[in-house]
Parts: sequence; C-alpha cells; structure tokens
Amino acid sequence: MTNAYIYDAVRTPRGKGRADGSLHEITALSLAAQTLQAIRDRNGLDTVLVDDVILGCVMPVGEQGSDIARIATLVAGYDEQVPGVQINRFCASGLEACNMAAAKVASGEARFAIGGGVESMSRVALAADGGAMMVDPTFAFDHYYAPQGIGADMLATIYGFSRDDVDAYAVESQRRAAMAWADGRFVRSVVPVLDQAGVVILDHDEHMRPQTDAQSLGKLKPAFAKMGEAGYDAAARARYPQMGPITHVHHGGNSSGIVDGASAVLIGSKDAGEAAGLKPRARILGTASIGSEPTIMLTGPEFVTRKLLARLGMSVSDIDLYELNEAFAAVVLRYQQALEIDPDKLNVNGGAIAMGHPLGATGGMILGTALDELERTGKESALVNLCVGAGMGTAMAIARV
Amino acid sequence: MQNITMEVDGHGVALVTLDVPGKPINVISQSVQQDLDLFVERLRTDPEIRGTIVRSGKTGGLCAGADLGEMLDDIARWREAESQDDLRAAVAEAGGYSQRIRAIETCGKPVAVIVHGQALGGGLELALAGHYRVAVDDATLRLALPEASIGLMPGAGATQRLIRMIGINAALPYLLDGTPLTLSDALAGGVVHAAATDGPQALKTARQWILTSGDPVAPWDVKGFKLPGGGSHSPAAYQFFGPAMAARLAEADQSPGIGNILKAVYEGAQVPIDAGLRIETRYFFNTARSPDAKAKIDAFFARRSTRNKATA
Ligand SMILES: CC(C)(COP(=O)(O)OP(=O)(O)OC[C@H]1O[C@@H](n2cnc3c(N)ncnc32)[C@H](O)[C@@H]1OP(=O)(O)O)[C@@H](O)C(=O)NCCC(=O)NCCS
Repeated sequence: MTNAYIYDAVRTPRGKGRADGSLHEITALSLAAQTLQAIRDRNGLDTVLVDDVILGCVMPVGEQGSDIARIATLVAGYDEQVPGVQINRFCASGLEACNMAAAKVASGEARFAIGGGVESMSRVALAADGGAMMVDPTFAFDHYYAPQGIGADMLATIYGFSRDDVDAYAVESQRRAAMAWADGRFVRSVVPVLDQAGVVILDHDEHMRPQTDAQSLGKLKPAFAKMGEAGYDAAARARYPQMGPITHVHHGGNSSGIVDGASAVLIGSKDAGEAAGLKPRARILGTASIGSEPTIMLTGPEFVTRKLLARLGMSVSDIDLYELNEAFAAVVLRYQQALEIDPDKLNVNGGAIAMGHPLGATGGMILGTALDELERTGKESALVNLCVGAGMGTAMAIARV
Repeated sequence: MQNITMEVDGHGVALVTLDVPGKPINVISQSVQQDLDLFVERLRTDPEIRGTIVRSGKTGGLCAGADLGEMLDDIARWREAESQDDLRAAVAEAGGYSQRIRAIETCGKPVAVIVHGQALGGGLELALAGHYRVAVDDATLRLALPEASIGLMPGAGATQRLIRMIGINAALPYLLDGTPLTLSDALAGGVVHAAATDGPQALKTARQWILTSGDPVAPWDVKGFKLPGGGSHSPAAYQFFGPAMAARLAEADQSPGIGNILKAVYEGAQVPIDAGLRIETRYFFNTARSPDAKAKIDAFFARRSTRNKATA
C-alpha cells in the first residue's frame, strides 16, 4: 500500500440555508463545480491525472440527484475521462469521500483522487430524500428510531450537560469562529462563490452571530421538545428506561446551522505529486468508520476515535488537534468528556454551531480547517471526525509533512 | 350450506343471511369459510343474481370475528411449520379467510352488507369487503378490531382497506388500539355509507343501492386510486406516522401485533391491494406464531374461561 497525501483543500463560504441566504440563487451543481475548478486552477493540475472525484451529498434528490459528482466534474471542465461518484454517509459524507479517495490512492487505483462534498440546504431541504429510517417500522419501530435532535437532548440528559453548559459551548464556538475569521485563518481554504455572471456573491460564512452571549441564547426555546412530545421521547425512554425524563436543551443557537456550501480535497500518492510538481501538505495516517447505538445516534465520535487511534497505536494525547463536527453542542461536550480532551485542542477555530453544517460538504471543510491550523501553528497531527446518522462515526487522522 | 341461507327476489337481489347454528353470535369457522366459497361461486355464476345483501340472522350482531377455539388449533399447527413447503402451506391457510373476502369484493356484482350490533375483528373485515355498508344505528352497534389486545392482528384485510378508506393516520387507533369506530366517524370516513333506524329500513336502503347505483368495484380497484392523506413516504407520514409509531414504543405491555400491524400498514400502503393483502397475511402469520402472542392468547383464554365459569 502506498501512502496517501493531501495536496490541497478548498471550501466555499457557507451561505444561510434559507430563501434569503446569499447562495440560495446558486445551484448545488455550481457550488460543487466551483470548488473543483479551484482545486484545478490553484494547483495547475492536469485533470486527466484525477482517477476519481468522490462527493458526499446527503440529499441526493432533485437537483442534487443523478450522481452530481460526475456532472459537476464535467461542468468544472475536467477531462471527460475523469469519473465521479456521489456517496452518502449522512453527515460524514464529505469526510467519507476523502477516506475513499485516500483508499483509492493507497490501493494504487488512483494517482490523484478528489474527495469532498456539496449540499445546498436552502434548495434541497433536510429529509428531502425520505428513507426507511424514519418511517419503516421494521427499522423505526423494532430499533427505536428517534431523530438526531432527540439524540442530542438524550446525550445531554444522560451525560449531565445542562442548558447552561450547552449554551456556554455555543458562545465559545461563536467566539472562536469570529476570532479565526478576524485572524485570517480560513483565507487559504475559502474560495469565494461566483454568481452566474462571474461576480463574487459570497466570500464569508454568513450564518455567524459573533454577538452571541449566554443571555441571548438563554431566551431561545428548545427546538426538539415538541418532537419529543409527539412520540419520540417515549421511544427514547423505552430504549433507555433508566434515563428518566429528557431535558430538551438544544435549539437553533447551540445546534449546527442549516447552510449551503461545497468542499473539495485533492488527495494523491507521493509519485503522482512529484510528477505533477506538487508538494504534499499532509500525510493521511489512517481512516475509520464505526457504528454505535442508533437511538441515541450521536455517540459514534468517541468510538471511531478510539478505533482509529488503537489501529495507529496512538493515544488521545498523541494528537495535537481535534476537529469534531459541532452537530449539536452536547455531541462535542460528550466527546471531550469521554476522551478527556483538552478544550484548547478541540475545534479551536469554532465549528458548525457558528458557521453551519452543509451536510455532505462539512467533512471536507473541517479537514481543510484542521490542515490549515496545523500549518499555522506548526503542530504535527490532527484527527478529524463527525457524528453520523443511525449511530455511526467517521474519522481521519493526518500529520503534516 | 349450513351457515348461510340465500333467497333471490324477483329483482335479482340475493338476500344472504349468516346464521351459524348452535352459536349465540356468528363466528368465522372453517365451516363458515367453506360456505363463503359456495356463496361466492353462486354469486359469480348465477345470471339471475344482480347483486347481494349480506346480513346476520343473530340478534346480537353481524359477527364477532374468528372462531378462537379453531384459531388456537390453527396457530398451534402454524407454529410447527419449518420447511419451505410447510411454511407456504401454512401461510396460505392463514390467508384463507382474507382471500375469500377478497373474492367477495371482486365477484363482479354489487355487495351490500348490513351491520348491526357487534361487528368485531374478522366480522368487521367481512363488512369492509362489501361495496356498500348500512349500519343499524342503535346502542348495541360496536365496530372494532380488538385483535392487538389479545396478542394478534387483523388478518383479513382491515389493515389494507381501512387505510385505503380513511388514510394511514386516521386508521392507526382503530388498528393498533382497538378503539371502536363511532357511527359518525364511520359515516364521515366512508367506512359506513348509510345509517338506518332498524333492520327492515337497512334492508330497504341496501336494496335500493343495489337497484339504483350498485357499483361492484371497490375504490382501490379503480385505476389511479390514491391513498387518502398520502402514502408511506408522504409528508404526513413523516410528520405523523413516525411519531405515532414512536409513541407506541412506550407501552409497557406491548402486544406482538403492534409492530406487525405497523409493518403491514407501511408496506401495504405502497403496493396494489392484492399485494397488500398478501403482505398483511404474512405479518398476521408471523404475529400468530410469535411466542409473545402465545402468552397473550393463553392469558386471554384463561381470563375468558374464568369469566365464563363465574357467569355460568
Ligand atoms: C435546531 C434547529 C431545528 C433550529 O432551526 P431554526 O429554528 O430554523 O433555527 P434558526 O436559525 O431560525 O434559529 C431559531 C431562533 O434562534 C435564534 N438564534 C439562533 N442562533 C442564535 C444566536 N446565536 N443568538 C441569538 N439568537 C439565535 C434565531 O434568530 C431564531 O429566532 P427567531 O425564531 O426569533 O428568528 C436547526 O438548526 C437544526 O435542525 N439544526 C441541526 C441540523 C441537522 O439536523 N443537521 C444534521 C444532523 S447534525
């Protein structure tokens, strides 16, 4: 097996995932194609060397349907020999795409492969793809399905995070994201989105609310209490009889924001990089995915991190920097608690609570964030991971070269 | 026919009376099922017959459902099935009554059913297979599907026909909880088409329907039929069916029928009626064979026999 290296990582800024969001008038196809063009143009890449383009997309229906990866590759002007495949591992799709790209490079199938993803949540809404998970009783009833917002509130209830705890985490996420933007820490990765005429339509993450404080968050009503009352609290308690009543602590201010965006990460072998005259930015140490209990749904990160570290023969303290997608505040708090991670090593530049979580794209985005931060600080290693629907977790560990 | 009498009047309307000898109320036994075969055959082939009215000869009601004694023996036999051949035969047997009811529905002639007093479980399912239902509106009227409460599930079309009449969400309480259908809800949802003050008036109404409009095709057999309220993947299903299902998980004393009713509904709503009925039969079979069902049914019989002794 050859080593796989990261040569570059780009992302769009994240637009508010609503009809009044700046990217609402830009198609998902265009978002994906623009990141692929940036990868090509920044690296002077002969695209014929790219043996696959793998894009995560969690709602692959409507305009995001029919293998958007291949279509975006053609629209980006890549050589027509370059294939594309759209994949779905729910919220980790963008990272899974990078894991698969790395595996293709490691196995020798690909010289270069691009991983990343796209999601226009303002144009193709959450849950637009339907699925058996929520409504087929063979899963939903027999396996006690509850939506992820309920899972987040279950995490807080079971592991003892109060409303103040999750709100405090959200305030910190906003503070860190604002500081990171002000300090120019995202400049290397963020490529502004152009409109149909080629004019910049968005160049910053517009979901952010830097003024957020505990007081402003304190006023927000729990988002998932109604859903719980409708039946899902009952399912959760049937699965966890010892849990007691669920305290609903998550709301729009401490959950990942609904946004539009795309990401692309160029991964390749050492030989391919040398032949193309490119310098690798990081080596991929390893990748992993795992499943955990699906009703609480969001405990995967702890387990996938342990799995990957064990395989690498590393311990938690060997990693300099952790990125865990901020799906919900309690997910990160639980992760930090379970693995005893120093908060100063975790999501140091904020995360999806402040900047948003464009489902299929996020994994590629936070991988780029970790890479930029390693380079900025001169640190060695990072572990990037996300919680995933139905109880999964997906991770990648990298080291600077 | 031991259980059914049939008289055809001068207009070609066959009046069919179900009256199981030696029973205080009609129940569906093997013998009744055999009579249903003969009845359907006659209905289909006799050119004199234009349509039929089905009613009960018992004062207590139309029919109380399955003959539970026989059903216990059936279930004991079904539990033994292991080989593919035995399984196939047992499932066919478990679906026998459902198929007979379907044969009535598709006989090609209009079928009106007069419902009075109790129409429970398989008895209500018999009525649902008619094309037109007249209910006698008095205090004894009771339309309900109590199967889940004794550890079973409706197995003769209720999970398929009720959702096609009133929609998935509206049907759930009747199917899962045994909630009785009130006459006004039944009328509003087209589960019952007309109310009558007494038996003779019901007969008149039914006869008039056959002679005037009498459509022998169920709505779900018409091309382009759409489930009212949306199918298994409609927005309504995500909004209501999912949570309704989740809420049921909290019930401490879970009937094994609950999950299987939900599965028959969810899967049956996505396919044509005949496939839906086959799916229902398979889940009915699974329910009946489950160890949990055995415990529930045994408990039900134990309760019933002590009650019968007490009242004897
Ligand atoms: C939690 C969730 C349902 C909230 O949705 P929403 O109500 O549309 O969210 P909004 O952004 O409109 O926020 C709700 C309210 O909080 C306010 N708010 C949000 N963030 C705030 C902040 N940091 N400070 C102050 N107020 C804030 C908004 O202004 C809004 O108030 P309004 O209703 O008065 O306008 C949604 O964010 C969500 O589902 N997130 C998770 C996404 C997801 O499931 N991803 C996949 C799995 S991780």
